[in-house]
Amino acid sequence: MVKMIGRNIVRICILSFLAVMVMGVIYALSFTSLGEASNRREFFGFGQGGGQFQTLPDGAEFPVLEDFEHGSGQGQGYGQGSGQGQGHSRGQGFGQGQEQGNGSSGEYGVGQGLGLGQGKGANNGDVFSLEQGLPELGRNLLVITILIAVVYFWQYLAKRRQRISPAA
Amino acid sequence: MRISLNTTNKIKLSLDVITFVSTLVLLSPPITGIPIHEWLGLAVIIPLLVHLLINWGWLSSTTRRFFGRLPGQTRINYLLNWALFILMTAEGFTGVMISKVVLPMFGLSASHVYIYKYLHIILADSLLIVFGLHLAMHWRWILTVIKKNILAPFFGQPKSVYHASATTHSSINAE
Repeated sequence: MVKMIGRNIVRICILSFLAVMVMGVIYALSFTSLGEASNRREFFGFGQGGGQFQTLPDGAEFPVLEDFEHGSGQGQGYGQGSGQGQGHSRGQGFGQGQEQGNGSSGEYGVGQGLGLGQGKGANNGDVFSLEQGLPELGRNLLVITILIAVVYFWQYLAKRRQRISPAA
Repeated sequence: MRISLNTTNKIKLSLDVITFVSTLVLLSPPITGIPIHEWLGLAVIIPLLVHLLINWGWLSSTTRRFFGRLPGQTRINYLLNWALFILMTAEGFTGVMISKVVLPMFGLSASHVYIYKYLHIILADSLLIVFGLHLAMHWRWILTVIKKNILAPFFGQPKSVYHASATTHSSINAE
């Protein structure tokens, strides 16, 4: 009994050692350029913004750039987080909008706006949702069933081939 | 203390069923929500470890014979087992690194390195494939044990059982 326990402890130590080696490789990956690249990906966002439109008085000259007033607008951003139904991250986006209008009384104006928006990932992974989880479970079961069928058929063929030519 | 083959098979089957159900649930986190997902992910280490220890004999003998004469299926099975071990370890490690419930409970904070989250998702899909293949390779054994230990008491012994000797994991793989 003691011998068996001792033997199993040694086996667990071997498995732990192997597991630590795998973890070490993944940990090291986070320091590579791949890790940095994936970080940039999380915080990248884009959005659309609408600015305030400003008109110029009749007869006024076309404004030079300094006369522009930058408006502030609201935009919507879409975070490119993990996505695909498992995104936990929130994304932030900046948007810029430009509008140009022609008034009937000869007024025309140019407006430029800068929008700042905040968006959320497609799904919040924290949320318990059977609606989302059950199809995923079904898909996984389907994949496993297909694999079982394929391997079973392959094993059947291998056995049959062996029966036909025992020398092989 | 000597345990009969039937009892060993029953224990193995029960463990495998627990592991199978847990893994399926773990691969669809929205079913449980993140807290249960994390705790279940940690808990599943125990049946996995026992599963490995029970089959240690086959593992060590196949390792010794790997470069010698060995049936193709056994070789594939052995490599699949390695892939599964690596994937499960990696999946567990990345899961711990992005943990939102378990780590904070111990006063630790999750890593903000995105690669862990990214890997956790990518590896889950690979894990599903390898897990399915592992299950498929042992499907005959599973059917035999179910027939012999679960169905036989109700419906009598099946006429043809997949090899009389195929009641142990090792005999299937050494075939």
